[in-house]
Amino acid sequence: MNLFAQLLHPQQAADNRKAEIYKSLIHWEAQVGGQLFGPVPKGTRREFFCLDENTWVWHEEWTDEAGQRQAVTTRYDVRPNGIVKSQGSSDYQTMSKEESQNFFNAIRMYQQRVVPELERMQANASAK
Amino acid sequence: MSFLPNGFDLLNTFIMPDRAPSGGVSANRLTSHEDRELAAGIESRLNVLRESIPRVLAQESLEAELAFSPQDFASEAVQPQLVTAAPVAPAVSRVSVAAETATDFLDGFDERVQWDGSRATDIPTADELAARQAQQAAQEQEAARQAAQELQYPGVDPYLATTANEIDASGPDQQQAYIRELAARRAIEQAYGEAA
Repeated sequence: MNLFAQLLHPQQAADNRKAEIYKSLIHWEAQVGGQLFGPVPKGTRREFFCLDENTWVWHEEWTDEAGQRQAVTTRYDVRPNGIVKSQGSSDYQTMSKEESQNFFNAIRMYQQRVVPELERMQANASAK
Repeated sequence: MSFLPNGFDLLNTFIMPDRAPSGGVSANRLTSHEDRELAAGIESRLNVLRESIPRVLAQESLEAELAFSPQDFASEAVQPQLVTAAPVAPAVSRVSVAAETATDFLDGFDERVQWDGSRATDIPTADELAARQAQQAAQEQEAARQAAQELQYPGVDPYLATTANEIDASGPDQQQAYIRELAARRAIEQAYGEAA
């Protein structure tokens, strides 16, 4: 949004700004989350983040042996009776015991790394 | 060590990309209004995480409690855990059939065991129910007949033993007592008659 539009529609500009901040924070979290599972191979893009209260997302892009770019997005839905995952347009699946444990470990690490950093940045922004 | 050595790198890299074309813009140049916007955005994200993370980890606890195989079910060692881990209603049923093998339990759960722990085989058929009701009615009738006999004065007809004059000659208390006895007697006779 250019300066003229911001002056003309201040509320819309504020809303856009708010959305931009929120989106940028998620983007940052996704990069931090992607590093929780060890080194990311060169040429691979890996993201893991909390989309909303009930949804976590794993996204990975890589280049296969044929030189084709591949991408898989896995969505984890937290439901009252369990966690299910879906990949692309496929149906929901339950997680294996091992996958569940890995997921829970990742959430704990995400909490340990992301939350304190957000709190620190918030404190800095609020202090000025 | 902080994961991000400088939290403002976030601003330069992501939040304010247009302000950092060369990567050299300091967050100190943010206006106070922008600071408030950023703080509000971070607060919003923190709220989401504070809501979601415990929700996920609660699922971990739930899975741990429910993580037993059918073979484990027959083991006495895990039965106390089953009582606390399973939803309330099924837990009662599971305890009630704990002595059975896991296979029997799984195969027959829906058919034979009710949510309240009773067995389906305890539910009578229509014929059994009718027989039970007939037996109960006969027992009640027999009790009524015996009660009526006990109230009969040996050798004395209760109706003949008390005349209208005797009632009139008696006091109010005696009259009321007689009326009550007569009413009870008629009720007993009515029951006895139906039984006969």
